[in-house]
Amino acid sequence: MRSRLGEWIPTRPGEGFITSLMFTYIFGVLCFYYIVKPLKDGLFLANYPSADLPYPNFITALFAGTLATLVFKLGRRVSAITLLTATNLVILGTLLGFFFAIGTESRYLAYVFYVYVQIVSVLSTAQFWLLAGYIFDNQQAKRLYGLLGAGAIAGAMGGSTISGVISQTFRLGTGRRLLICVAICALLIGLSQVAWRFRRRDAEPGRASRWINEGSERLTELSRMVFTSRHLMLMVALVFVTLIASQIADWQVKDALYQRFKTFQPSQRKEQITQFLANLYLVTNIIGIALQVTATNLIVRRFGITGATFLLPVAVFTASWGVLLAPGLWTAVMADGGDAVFRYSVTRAGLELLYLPLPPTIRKRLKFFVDVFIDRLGRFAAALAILGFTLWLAGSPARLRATAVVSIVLTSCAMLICLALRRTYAEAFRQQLTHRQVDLAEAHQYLTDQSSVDLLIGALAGAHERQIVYALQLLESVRGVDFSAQLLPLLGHASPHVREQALRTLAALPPHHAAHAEALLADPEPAVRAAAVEYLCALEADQPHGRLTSLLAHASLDIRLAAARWAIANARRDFRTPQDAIDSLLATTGEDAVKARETAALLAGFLERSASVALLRRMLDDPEAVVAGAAARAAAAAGHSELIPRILAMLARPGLRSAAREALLAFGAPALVAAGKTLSDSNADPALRREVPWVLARMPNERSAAFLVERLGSRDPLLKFRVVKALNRLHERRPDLPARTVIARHIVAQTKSYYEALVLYQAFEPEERHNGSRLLVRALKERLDQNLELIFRLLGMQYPQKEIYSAYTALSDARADRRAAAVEFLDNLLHKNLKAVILPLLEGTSADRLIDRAQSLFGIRPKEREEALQIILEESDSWLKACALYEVGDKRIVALREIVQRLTEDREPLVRESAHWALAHCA
Amino acid sequence: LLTVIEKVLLLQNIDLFSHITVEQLSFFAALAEEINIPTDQVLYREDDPPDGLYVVVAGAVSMRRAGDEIDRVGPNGSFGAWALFDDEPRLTTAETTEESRLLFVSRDDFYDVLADHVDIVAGLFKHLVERLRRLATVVEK
Repeated sequence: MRSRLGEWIPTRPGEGFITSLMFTYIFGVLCFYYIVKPLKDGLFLANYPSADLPYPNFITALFAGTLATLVFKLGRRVSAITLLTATNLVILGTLLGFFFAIGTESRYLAYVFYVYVQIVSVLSTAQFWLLAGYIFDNQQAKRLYGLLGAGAIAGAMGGSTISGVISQTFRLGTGRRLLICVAICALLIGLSQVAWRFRRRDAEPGRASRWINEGSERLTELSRMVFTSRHLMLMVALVFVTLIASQIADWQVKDALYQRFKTFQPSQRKEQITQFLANLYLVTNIIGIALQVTATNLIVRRFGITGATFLLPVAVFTASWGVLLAPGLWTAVMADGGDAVFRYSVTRAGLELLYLPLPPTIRKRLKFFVDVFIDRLGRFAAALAILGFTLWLAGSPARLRATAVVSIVLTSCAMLICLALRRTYAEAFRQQLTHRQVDLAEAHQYLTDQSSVDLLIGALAGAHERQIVYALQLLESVRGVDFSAQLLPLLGHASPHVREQALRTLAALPPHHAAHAEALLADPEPAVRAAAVEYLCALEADQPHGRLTSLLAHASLDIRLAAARWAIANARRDFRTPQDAIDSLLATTGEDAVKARETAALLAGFLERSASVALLRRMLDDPEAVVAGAAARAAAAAGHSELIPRILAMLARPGLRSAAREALLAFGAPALVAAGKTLSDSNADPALRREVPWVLARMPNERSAAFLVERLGSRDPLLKFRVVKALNRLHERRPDLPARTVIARHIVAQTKSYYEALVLYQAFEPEERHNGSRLLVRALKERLDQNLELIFRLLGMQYPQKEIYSAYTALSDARADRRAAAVEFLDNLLHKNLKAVILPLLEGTSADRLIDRAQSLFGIRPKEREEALQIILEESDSWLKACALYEVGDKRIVALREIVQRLTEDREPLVRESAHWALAHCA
Repeated sequence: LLTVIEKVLLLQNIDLFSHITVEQLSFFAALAEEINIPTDQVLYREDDPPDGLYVVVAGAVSMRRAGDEIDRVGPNGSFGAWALFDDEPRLTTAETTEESRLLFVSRDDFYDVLADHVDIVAGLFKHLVERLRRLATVVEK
């Protein structure tokens, strides 16, 4: 049950709370909207005839965007959360205002409320996505926005239910429904405050205003982009005409409702219309979501782009004929309901597909153009058309018929556009394919559509090897389409790359092509043979003794090795290898001996546990890196945690490092603990300890962060550098780690180290012309640079990482204005305690003043050359010690002979060697 | 025998290593091999496969192409640096003109160090990009 639920909920550890918070938020926004939406119509039609509806729509089209722009421009002056809270407070206040004003029976109230609801709906939804942008990064957005979309649908259904069924059952009047909205609004304020605490630290400030700037500055540019591409033009035209048809259908229902209830008292009319619309929205929402869940994928797969985009115009076209022939409430409901049902299910999926063959930059710009400009223009044009007819045919029942004719014409155009889009879509997709710009990660989205699959299948007959391979890669995710006639001939293609990829794509076809794969077991290319083995093994992966067993007994050692490689990653854990098969592999001699031992190592993981551990322990020490690496992988796959210390030790050997890293990551938690303990053990091999941060960084959790933070004070500069790098990486994945207070402490400590190194550096600088001291001065200068990098890496865990990085690169820029801007930025960003110690280092302060600063801040006094040398020899890391020893020997500084003598017994070979050299020169 | 520090002092003059810290150079220095070569000894010939980088500690090496001497490398000079990256055969023949002491960094050792210290790659890339920029400027002119 839990795992089934996991398939539906794509959250990862640590994301559950904030995702449910945002889900509730969007649920609240839509719930709110669907409570007030029918209310605004009921209130308006209780006070004004339906012929007046275009006027508030005009006002909305004119001012909704402008108001949204103004609100977002405020975002330049205040933070996003202040903006969000203020807006929600204004909405809450105005709702209370409406609550008290609703009894005054002012006719203008209906007008104001109508426009207000339309504007507030745009604003609230935009603000929700703005907040989501602050919280979720791109990767999270891809995974979680679908779930938030489901929250929106659920909210719409909830709102319609409250407005319809619940209000009817419990006799909730307009006032109480407004109070429910006030409560929702208060909840949204609370939710936004909590959600804001989860914002990404690297979310850029001024996001809202940037969004506005993009829009206002690029209208002509965007229009030019659209009108120079037939595909884009058709897409925009489709959205435009269907939007007008949708607005007309919406008006038709309201007009028909007005005609039905116009003889009622205004208050009764309001209630009747509100109830009717609420129920209509509830039903269309339910049908829409049912269609989305059950039929959308099927329709897209069966009928492609054309089918998906065709349904909405066809439904409205058909219903409009009903309105034309039998004008009335139910035919109008059919038109409006058809539009609502398809617009947010099948049509949306079809439109999303139309965006896919566009490069990401154009896709983003086109979406902006459609959402902002075309939407407003469409609403304006629809209001204009309706107004024309209502004025022309004032009071005549023929106006419903007249608008139906317009709908028929528009939807006919829409259907023609859909047909034309089929061709332009195919062309756009073909171009993407030619330029190999289709994102493989998005391939499954393309391949829900038959025409795209047909295009790819067509590409298999091409002459370009790379294009065939690319089309085959994309076809790997296709299911339920038989393209064996095109694929099977490629198994005999002259290019081994094509043969290999064709074998991998064979899995997309029904599993009756084993004979073809078996034939390729004799292919001259090892990669093709391996692909054939993988295909054959995967055919019977769920059977413990399926094809794998026979392939492991194959006469060719290459085939056995490929089967063993497949087994380690895919075979069932209860699969067992016969001991004699491994014995025979281990007995192999000659040129195949290494390959045979590698195969044996991989298969050793499938022996009975004690035998498996014993054999793998032995094979981890194999002199051949491939064999020892295979043993490490097999041990991890078998879960032999007792071998972790042996595998961990392999990190220090370059040839084995990659396999050891892979195995340790596969072990997970037990390896983390072992690696962490090694990092903490000051007696462990330094070369091994330096490799541990890489592993810990890739297991981001509180434990790994704690192990790394513990070593932030390491005296080994290389280890310290790698620890900080690892923490940077870990912080990217888990912005809550490590704790900010801990990092703040280390920033100050690192800055102190910088000042200490600076004082030593200043003691030597005048002598840098001399060969020996130049090396030491250069080494000290490089240590200073490394120190500064560490300070900025630590700052990146305290402040927005990207911006800190930009400031760091700007500081080393040749342009003075960029350096000054970086200092200015840090001056505004850093806490005053950090500013006091860090900014002097960056402001080009003179060396003397920096030395004074070091003394006043940390009590570090200036050093003479010999004293500095002594400190380096006694306290520094081995590299600086070695450089200092060279300096002592080169300059024959006899006064330091005693320390030099002591260093001839240092644990580091580099220091010992340099000390002997220095001693010899001092003698 | 040269100490690691002395080897670093020699390696730091090589253009290719201009963006690598002296500490990082010490990793190459630790693996660099010191070799003594008699006079008129050929180190490699044109079209030989590349094997590594040489630095002249003492003595001199003549670089010849199609029989003509195109360069002579003396103490602190280096040759064959591009063999560390390039698989193409040697373009020149290298032959000592006097008894020489050389420092040799093999391709295998070079890549072992890179595998251990990936940060060095950034310094190498920086140098290569600088060279490309210079080349682009020359081509533009």
